Amino acid sequence: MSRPSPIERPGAAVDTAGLAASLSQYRGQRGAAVPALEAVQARYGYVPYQALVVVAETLGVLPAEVFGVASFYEEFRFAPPGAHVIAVCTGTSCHLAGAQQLLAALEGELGIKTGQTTADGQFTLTQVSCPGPCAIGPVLMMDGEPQARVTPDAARRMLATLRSARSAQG
Amino acid sequence: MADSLQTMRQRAQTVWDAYWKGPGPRAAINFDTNGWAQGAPAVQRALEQELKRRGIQAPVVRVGGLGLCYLEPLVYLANGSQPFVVYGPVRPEDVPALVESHLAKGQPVREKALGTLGEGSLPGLPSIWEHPFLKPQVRLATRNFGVSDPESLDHYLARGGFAGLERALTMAPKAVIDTVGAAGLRGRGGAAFSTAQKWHFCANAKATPKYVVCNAEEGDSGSFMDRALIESDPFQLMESLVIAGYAMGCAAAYVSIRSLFELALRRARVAVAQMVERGLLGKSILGSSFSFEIIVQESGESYVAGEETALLAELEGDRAQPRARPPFPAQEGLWRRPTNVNNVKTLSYVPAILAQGPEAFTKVGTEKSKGTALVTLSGDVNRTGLVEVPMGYKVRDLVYEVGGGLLAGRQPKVLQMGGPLGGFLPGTMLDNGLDFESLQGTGGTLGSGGIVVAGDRRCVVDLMRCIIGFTQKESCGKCVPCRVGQTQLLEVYNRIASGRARPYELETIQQLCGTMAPGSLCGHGQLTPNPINATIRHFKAEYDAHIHDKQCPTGVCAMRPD
Repeated sequence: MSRPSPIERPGAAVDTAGLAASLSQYRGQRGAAVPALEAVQARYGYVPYQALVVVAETLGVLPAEVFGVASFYEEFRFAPPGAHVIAVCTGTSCHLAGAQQLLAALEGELGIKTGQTTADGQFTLTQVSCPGPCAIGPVLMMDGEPQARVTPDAARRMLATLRSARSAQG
Repeated sequence: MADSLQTMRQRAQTVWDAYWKGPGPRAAINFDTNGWAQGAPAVQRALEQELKRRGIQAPVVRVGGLGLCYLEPLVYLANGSQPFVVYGPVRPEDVPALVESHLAKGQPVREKALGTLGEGSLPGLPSIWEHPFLKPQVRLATRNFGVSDPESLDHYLARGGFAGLERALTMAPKAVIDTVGAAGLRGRGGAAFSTAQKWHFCANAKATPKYVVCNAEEGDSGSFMDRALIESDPFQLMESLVIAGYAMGCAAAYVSIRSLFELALRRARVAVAQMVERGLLGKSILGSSFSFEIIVQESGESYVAGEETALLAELEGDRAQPRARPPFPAQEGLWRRPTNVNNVKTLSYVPAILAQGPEAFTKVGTEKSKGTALVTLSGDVNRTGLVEVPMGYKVRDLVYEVGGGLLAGRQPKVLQMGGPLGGFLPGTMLDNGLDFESLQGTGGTLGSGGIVVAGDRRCVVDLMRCIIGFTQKESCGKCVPCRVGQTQLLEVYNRIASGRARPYELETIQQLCGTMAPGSLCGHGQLTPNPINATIRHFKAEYDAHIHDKQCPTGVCAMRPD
């Protein structure tokens, strides 16, 4: 799967000064590439190009080096995700507990494939391995919160709740 | 000037007694990732609301996990000076009735009670330690699990914490290493190498500064004991790192934890901050001449980062890709300085070995494998969770006594052990012991301790395909045998599982494995053939049915293109 180049992407509004201030603890610390990128993704939901440049300046390395680290990990995104990110664990224990059926149900319900975002920008569906509650699978991470024993029906109910909350907000 | 350990202990005892002995109503909830994923936050809110509504003054203490993952979230309630009663699984809607009966009326709710926890007993209720899942266990590394508040230094102190460090600081550094050696402690990350020997390598290195790195990159699917050790008892790990640092003459420790393990990361940071505040980290620890710091660093999600040189690369700000060895980290590790890398499990035994002497450890286990095995049990068994049993404990007893047997009376077909690079133990060989030696030559392995039980309706080819899907995705791409080999292997397994197998697929697999095992740079590519070989050896007929008859005997594989 090809990754979009961050350089071709104009990037969202990045408050470079505010970001730089929040990363000040990593100044000059080359080894803090991953923590700095995690902080960026926590702030914007993805790693915008301008933010990547701020990280590079903070650490004292080239933007290409930071991109080299960021693109190594599947978790760093270079485009904005949906409003909700659903990550299904596909590890061995969850596989036995029905992770494939869960993924298929979510793909069917959302009308997208794993790795994609719905056209309305509401949901991104991804895989993750392995958040750790192996004894109580299948597991998914809903916006960073672990949920255990998620049956296909429970997943459909979860989506319905999120969708109705959104339409209630209007 | 920081307080002496003795002063701290006195204050800690008061805090602990108020929680453990009362008098007065008390409440706790088990809040680890397993409890969290099963609704612990909502249960805690319900509990706090109900206590407030009834005007009951009882803070809800967050404790770690007892290991009873399948019964979480657990709620503990106690009256007066009585022991806690452990309830589980508890839903938010169960809370009002529990509080009313137990705390308002003084009547424990027997139907929901699993047992008592604490000093004393209650008529008609067994101790929680009599529960069939817990009874066979010997809890050395997990002794505080589900008992104390993992974010309270006072709780840890009151449970005997920092006695190991206190003793270590009175000894010569080399004597500390020799004590660990006398205990026969071996690495729990998979390689089972002597911990003391490893510490000697780093201690004897000349260059300075030296570092100790805690490998918490637990990526094995089916394993979660490292994460649990940090979530449920972070101080034990931090104490161990200070002891290790003192023994080897290190300046600092790095603990690398995935951002995905949010709770473990937070609790590790809380533990370090409290230790700094109390003078248990920093300059002149406990009035000694030893100074030390611990840096907790977030890491990304990469399986290969569990390989020690890849972990060091990540800590230096590079991609988590391994380097060729030698030089070994003990000579040239982090920032090219002598570095010792230990797994979380290995380190977690160290404080007790120092505090109680090596005998506390050597009296448990087998001749060659001392101490306990920390395993996580999941898959097709009735009771799943985290288990600590003596080394040598029979696999059969783990499945039937601890695990309560297989779901719906199924027969065990195979146990996937030690993560994706581990092995497969057939269900006919369960009389082997869980230790480093007994499983050799069986196809199984203790490895990192993850055990996934598969019943007789599971397909071994499908399981293996799932595993190769994981190892392929996680190959770091640095060396060709692994990068290309994993992809080719996955394509072979995809063909076999979709009815498109060529007659010579097993030969193709053997050729790929024969290149990857000797040719790959690190354990990821070197060990991928292990589980494959075990499945072919024990389940060749199942492969043949897929390859030659285009049939999946269990009906799991689709046997048509996706």
